[in-house]
Amino acid sequence: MNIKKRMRNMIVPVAMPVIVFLIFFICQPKRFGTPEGIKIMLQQSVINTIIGFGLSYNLLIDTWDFSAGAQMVLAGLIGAFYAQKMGLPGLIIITILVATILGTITGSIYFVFKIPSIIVTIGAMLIYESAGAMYHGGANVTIPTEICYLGKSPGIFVVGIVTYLLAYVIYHHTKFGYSVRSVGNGEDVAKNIGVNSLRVRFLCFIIGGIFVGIAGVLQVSYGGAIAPKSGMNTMGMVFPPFMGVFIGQYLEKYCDIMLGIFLGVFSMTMINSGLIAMGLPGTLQQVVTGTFMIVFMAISINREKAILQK
Amino acid sequence: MSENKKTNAFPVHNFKEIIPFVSLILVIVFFEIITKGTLLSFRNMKLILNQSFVLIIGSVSCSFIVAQGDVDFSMGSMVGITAVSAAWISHVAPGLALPTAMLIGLCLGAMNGLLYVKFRIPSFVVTLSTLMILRGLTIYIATGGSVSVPFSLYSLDNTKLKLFLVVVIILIATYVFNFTKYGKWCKSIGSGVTAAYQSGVPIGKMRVTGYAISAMMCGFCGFFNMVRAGSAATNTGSFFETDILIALVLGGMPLSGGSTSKIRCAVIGSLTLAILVNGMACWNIDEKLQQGIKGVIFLIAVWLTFDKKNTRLIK
Amino acid sequence: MKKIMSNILIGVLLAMSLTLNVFAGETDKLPEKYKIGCVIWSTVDELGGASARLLDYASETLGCEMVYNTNISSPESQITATENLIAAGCQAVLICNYSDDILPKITQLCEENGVYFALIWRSIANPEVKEFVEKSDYYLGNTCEDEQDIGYRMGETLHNKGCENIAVITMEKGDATADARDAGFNQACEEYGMNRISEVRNNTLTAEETTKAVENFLASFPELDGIFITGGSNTILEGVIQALALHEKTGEVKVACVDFISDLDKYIAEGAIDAISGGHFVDPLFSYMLCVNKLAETPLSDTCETCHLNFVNLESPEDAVNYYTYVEGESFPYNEEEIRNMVKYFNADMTIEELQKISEAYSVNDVVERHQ
Repeated sequence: MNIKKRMRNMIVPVAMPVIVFLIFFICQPKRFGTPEGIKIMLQQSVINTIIGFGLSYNLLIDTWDFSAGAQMVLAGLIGAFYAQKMGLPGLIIITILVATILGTITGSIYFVFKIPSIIVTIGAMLIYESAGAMYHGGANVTIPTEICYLGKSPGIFVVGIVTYLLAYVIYHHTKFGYSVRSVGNGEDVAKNIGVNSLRVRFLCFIIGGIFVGIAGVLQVSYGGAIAPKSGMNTMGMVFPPFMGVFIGQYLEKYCDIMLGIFLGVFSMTMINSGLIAMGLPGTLQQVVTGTFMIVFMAISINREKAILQK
Repeated sequence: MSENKKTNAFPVHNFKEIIPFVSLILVIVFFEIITKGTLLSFRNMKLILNQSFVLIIGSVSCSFIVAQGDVDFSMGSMVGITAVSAAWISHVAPGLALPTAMLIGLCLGAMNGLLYVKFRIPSFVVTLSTLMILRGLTIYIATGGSVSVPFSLYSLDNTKLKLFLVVVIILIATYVFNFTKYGKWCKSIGSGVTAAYQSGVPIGKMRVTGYAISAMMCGFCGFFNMVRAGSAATNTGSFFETDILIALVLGGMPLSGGSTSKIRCAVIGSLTLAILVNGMACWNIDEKLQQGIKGVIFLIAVWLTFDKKNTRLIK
Repeated sequence: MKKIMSNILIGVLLAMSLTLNVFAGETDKLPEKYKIGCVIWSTVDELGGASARLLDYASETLGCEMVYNTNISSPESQITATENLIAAGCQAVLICNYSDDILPKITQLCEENGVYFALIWRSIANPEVKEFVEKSDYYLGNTCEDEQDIGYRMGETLHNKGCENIAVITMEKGDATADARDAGFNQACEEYGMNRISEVRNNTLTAEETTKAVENFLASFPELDGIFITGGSNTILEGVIQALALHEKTGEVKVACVDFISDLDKYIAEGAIDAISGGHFVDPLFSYMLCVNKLAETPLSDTCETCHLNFVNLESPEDAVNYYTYVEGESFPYNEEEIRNMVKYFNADMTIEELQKISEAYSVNDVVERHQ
């Protein structure tokens, strides 16, 4: 029994990425799944996975952070600007610092004014985007190629693994992580045993900010430049990580949720690359990603438990 | 919510309810002064009506699903796909464009609802996914990117017709929402799913019809967007869902649904948003700053109207 | 006492200089402060930002006022943006329209409100729409580049550099400019027998997503040896260059791009870019002049007019340095005197032919010769 369970715990989480991989590999053995291609796909999954880590604490307790993309762009812009003068340390310190401050601001608005988080984050997104467009007249910022090495392997993987460990420890071995889990399991119960859910959400925004900052550093290093986005365009940036977190939440029964997020994001990256390899028009990619999400949820949702859920 | 609590909160409640009104009036007065009377000129009021038309109709019809405590993120793409379909149809039979758009919306909305109810996928995941899927399909069916509309349909883009339609739709919606079993059931689901279920409300049917109504009216909005722009394109209706959400919240609609939901929240909110956008353009401030100001006003409006006392959990 | 006297003296001098300034100012400003609106995708990216700076500069010189509206995520929002500019009291509107199909509505709108309009970066391809729009008294004309030709020339350059398998980064179908460039490029592909192996279409690309897209090309198509970008603004080109650098393919995979970004001299010297054309940020200035002349009641023409503009090609780092020094950046391609001369109110000799000649002559050398 125990062995069977352990086997299942090993097989189920890996099943999805493997199935996705095999589908494309069988269709396009020459174009898809070369060692170089796999490395590239892993590399591309890192940034969204890290954003996913940041959003996961929030999503676990039903908080939707739509402002994460705007936070990342604004922090990245400011960080990249200082990177031109102070090099890599400037980029890392300033980006993470700014993102954390922005997370704190979002959290404070929620905590002080006590308005629903979905509204706080949409309002904050509008404001941060506007600030990004105003920063230095809305100019793009390019960073010198010499300090881009966090954007490629092995740098990006080292950051990814370190961040994973950080997310793992925060979730499993801190009081904050415990509170998040208890609120996630039932806010009423958690409140009754003395967890202040408002405070937990406030902390979630700050912790989320730190991860968004780390993702911002990689984003700037990876792209080599960063441009402000406005008109709610940053909202689309949080959808792929959201989907990763949904998958992670489902896989939590079998493996660590943070690992699940990575597996989810990685599967989605493979779908994107695979579709390009198959020469499908770019327009159909959204369709396939959305359908994948619905099919995945339809298969995985626990129907009995979910009968009355929203 | 006990009866006792309700009576205690009554004065506060009353006060909260008039805030959206007050803020609408404040916004009007502020921009009237700052634009030196341009805002309330006849010409500009016509523009505001034109601009808020689809917003009012969208948010009014979305109220039925929001009252149940759900959100519909797929509205932007619904508008897009129905508009492009309607544009293609209008080349063959202009008269059929509107019915087709609404029918397509109805089917797609019912599909949203069924995925939610039958497969038990959380509604925000369903609608976020359909947002992506339908936008992709819209791009796919709008082969050249943009589909033009026969000149004969341009006459539908007139203010009198829109004023008439908007009044009729608001009246019907208010009636259904306040005086029929359907409206009451919507609100009771929002107040508490379990209690509603126990008192015999057909939750599944309500959810499916809620999404179907919202999407059907997106078809209506899509048609009028298409007439307004003289074309439908791959990005028709983009960000419509966020605009609706902002409008509802500005009007004081509780996103958790329930008994405090009102159709007038949707109307007031949409007008406030349209006047804000129009007023800021007339005010002539840096357009990069406009979005930030919109965000700040949005947060303040919610802070003033959000009913903290009667909400146990602020998520 | 002495101090007071000197203070008074200074005060008087100051007042005199101020009044003198006002008198002097009157002669080089237009009689009325015309308000001109501009519907544009953004005023913060390289192309849109440079255009906005130039228009602001021209307006300051002439004593006009510019208002921008960038809320144009969909066709209906372009109509809303135009309406709001008219509501804001603009007497003329410059529009970078999403597609031909919205122009009949824009024409109606401007006719109803008695507002002039001109197109920027666009020409009308649809004959039915063209006829409808050009009939209007309020349509003043357009400024455009030969987009299809530039796409073709980019394809030709890639072929000459030995490319055979090319990936394309462009916008969603429906953007008139990107579609025309793409069509020209396709024509070159067919003529020279090059393969178009893959494409990415996205309207909101920035560096990171572009890097990702190029990596996907590299992973799936090892035979890739060329990339064509229909619009490199908004860090798209930087993203491509970065992706190639990360995978040490710089120079091996050729890059052809329309639209300029900053630091091109460096990129050209490194061999990161093989063909680049752009510099068309001056485009709106000519449509602007059509409007200003009409508003000042010194119209250059009674019918609508078209100004043609050529793309600037940068072939060497020196070209790029010249471009940044004289054309875009600290200085403007036309100085105050030249801008004033484009308005008949100041310069009675100005004609539409003359304005068209100025626009057609635009090139780096043209600017350098005038301003050196």
